[in-house]
Amino acid sequence: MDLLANLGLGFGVAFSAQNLLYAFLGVVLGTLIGVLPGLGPVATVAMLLPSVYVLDATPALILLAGIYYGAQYGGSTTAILINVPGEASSVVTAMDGYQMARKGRAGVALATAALSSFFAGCVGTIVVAAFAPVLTELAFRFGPAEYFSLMVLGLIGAVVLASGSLLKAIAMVVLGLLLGQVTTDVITGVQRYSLGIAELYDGISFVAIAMGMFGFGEIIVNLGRTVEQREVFTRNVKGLWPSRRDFKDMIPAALRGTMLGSLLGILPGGGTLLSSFTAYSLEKKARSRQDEVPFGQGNIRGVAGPEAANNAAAQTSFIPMLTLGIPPNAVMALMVGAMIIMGIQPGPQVMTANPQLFWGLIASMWVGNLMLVILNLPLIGIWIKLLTVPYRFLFPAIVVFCSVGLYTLNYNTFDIFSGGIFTIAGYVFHKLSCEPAPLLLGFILGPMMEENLRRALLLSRGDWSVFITSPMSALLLVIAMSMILFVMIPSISRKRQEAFVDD
Amino acid sequence: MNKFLALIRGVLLVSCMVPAIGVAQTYPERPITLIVPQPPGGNNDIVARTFGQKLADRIGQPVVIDNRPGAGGTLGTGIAARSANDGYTIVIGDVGTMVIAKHTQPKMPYSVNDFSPIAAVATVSIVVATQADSPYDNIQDVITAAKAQPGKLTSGSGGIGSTGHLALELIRSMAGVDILHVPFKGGAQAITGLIGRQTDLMIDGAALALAKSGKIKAIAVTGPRLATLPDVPGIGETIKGFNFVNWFGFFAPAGTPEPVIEKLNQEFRAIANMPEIRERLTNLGLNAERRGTPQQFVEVVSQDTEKIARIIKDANLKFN
Repeated sequence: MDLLANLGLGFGVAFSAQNLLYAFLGVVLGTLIGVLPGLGPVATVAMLLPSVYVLDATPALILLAGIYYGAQYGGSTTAILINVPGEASSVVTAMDGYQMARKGRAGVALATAALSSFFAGCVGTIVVAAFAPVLTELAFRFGPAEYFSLMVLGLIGAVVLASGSLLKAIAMVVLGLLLGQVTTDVITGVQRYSLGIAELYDGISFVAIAMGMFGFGEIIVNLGRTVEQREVFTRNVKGLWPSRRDFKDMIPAALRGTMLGSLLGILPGGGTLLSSFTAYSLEKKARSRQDEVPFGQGNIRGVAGPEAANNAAAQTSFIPMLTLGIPPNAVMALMVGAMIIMGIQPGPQVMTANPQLFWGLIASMWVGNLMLVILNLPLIGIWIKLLTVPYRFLFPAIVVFCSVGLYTLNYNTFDIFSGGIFTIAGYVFHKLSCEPAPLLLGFILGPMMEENLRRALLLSRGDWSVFITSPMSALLLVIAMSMILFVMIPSISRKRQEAFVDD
Repeated sequence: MNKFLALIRGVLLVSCMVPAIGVAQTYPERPITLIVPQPPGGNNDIVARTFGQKLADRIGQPVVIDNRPGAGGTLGTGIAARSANDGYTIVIGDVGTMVIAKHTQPKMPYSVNDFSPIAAVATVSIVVATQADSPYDNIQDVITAAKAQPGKLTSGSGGIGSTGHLALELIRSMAGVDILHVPFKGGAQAITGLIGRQTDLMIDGAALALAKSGKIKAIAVTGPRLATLPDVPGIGETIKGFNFVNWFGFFAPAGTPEPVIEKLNQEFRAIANMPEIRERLTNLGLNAERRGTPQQFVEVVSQDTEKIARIIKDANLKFN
């Protein structure tokens, strides 16, 4: 009953006119920056900081939180409409969402993303309210050995992501791992493959790769076609609202995604991304109807699952920050900074010392999610109109917005140039029919995997058995091994090829 | 009209006689850019924004905060070094970017001599923490345990070459103990590692907030006691002569006119003296620094440069 009383207190705070206003402002801003490709929440929050610092703590945090999940949400809109994932976690949404848009089902895809996200957001909020302390403890059980094994599992899952040839998928994962090696080594501090370029000390920018390979690469491919064939989107837009059958496909996928996302979201670093990739792999493995659209060609479950997962994860990733004051990502680091400036010491005592703030923020998450749906469902009609703009007007606008977004990452033109290089790479890969998604996953997971491998061995003084003496790590490795076996058994792999190679 | 001309003549006369004051009187005539070579949200950023805002109020010109993160802070600091030395571009520096970086970065785009120090505004002793239920209550317990089982204790930090890491190296060499350094990617991860019992200790400023809440236990600080943790002793109280302090200060490109440096120094010191600013710094776990003239700050920087070089040499650290 405590929970209800606390939530009551929280909703009392969240429903004050002022806090509603800031929540609304936050989600509107968040949606806007999410929709402007590449302009991420970190840059926006940083720009707003001076004005945020003068607010009271509760409205300030509600505003920042609104921007955070609003951006998460807006990122999938661009992923679906123009194949530009605004956020790392929307890379997966782009795979099937964009194909749906090309087939005239952009409205359905957007509605699916909106509804799945809303559902997941509601569940995520309840999880945060009810289980925050328990889940925090669980996250601490995850040491370097467990992380490493989880990443191994994730990488093997990445191969499953590809809809084309298995060999090419593996090659792309490996290439992603290699690109991920460009960085400063965490354990020894040595700069690797940086070619003496200071901008490469912290690694290649993920956004530059994603934008180059997905967004810009796609544009070149489209421009390579003759004008008659170039109309990227069919004029024949079929319905804005999912049909009954769509709902039937969507609901179980969203449920699975929500569960995965709520769990993985609490892991610091990459929780949202990992959950959307894992949800996609899970959907691909889950039983499908005979007449379903194949994955990679506009399957609705490929939008619903990952979208639910990344939104649930976006909510539960607040847990380490709320219960301990440990920020798992850059936006939350800013939120912690704002709390300190306002004289609130982030940490476990926030719950008891500032209950209005704590429960008000949680309640406002739910309010914010509701606002997002109300805001976005009517907007779908407008977004669809955007697709009827002739391509010769649309693509220069995309290029300009993306370049602005790339620049604002670090206020450095270097990121625009690297985006350009990956554009060429993306075009070449398209010609070779190699898909960029496994590369991106390898690029993100590789460095995390290596770092945790090295740290696990450092702590065990070089004893490799830590990976199997920890039950959780052993379990994850066993699942990974069985996935490899599954792919390697010839009959199954032949079936896989039949199912996915031919269009 | 005549009176007006006389006034102008008088002003001109005075400004001719004391040209140095003239510069300081007209400065600043346009907005000042304050480069923060770290991403927004960290201590450097908060200190810069706090002082930048107050500075803008006092001088009547906007102070634009320009976050230029990358390459451990050397990217943005390098940009500041190459900026015009007219007093309209300044940068926030700390022991990391101004002293340690030249040892850890293979290609430094600047040296500390490319800057004129303006003022140190805050100092911070780094927190040494352990689990709340750990058997170690003070630094002596840690030294005893480490001597009993060399190489068995582990200590996390926010990264290789971080202030926390170098403080650990100083403990190792001054106390003659072997404690394994476990670098994490940032202080937040090091906390997770400590609470998750992967490491026995951690040395990083990020430990402060949780130490205050009792979730982890602060057993020592590396320099003078912190205003916000008055009961936690400095390591120097146990190991004689031990002192390791990080500072935050403002720098202008070398060759910035002396009167401009003086003016900014006075403003920053006045701001650091404001009770609300001191309270905010205390909340951040920093001690406000109120004494420093530019000359004193130059000395602090050169002393630390020597000290860090010695720590790195004694510990035989190689970063490249």
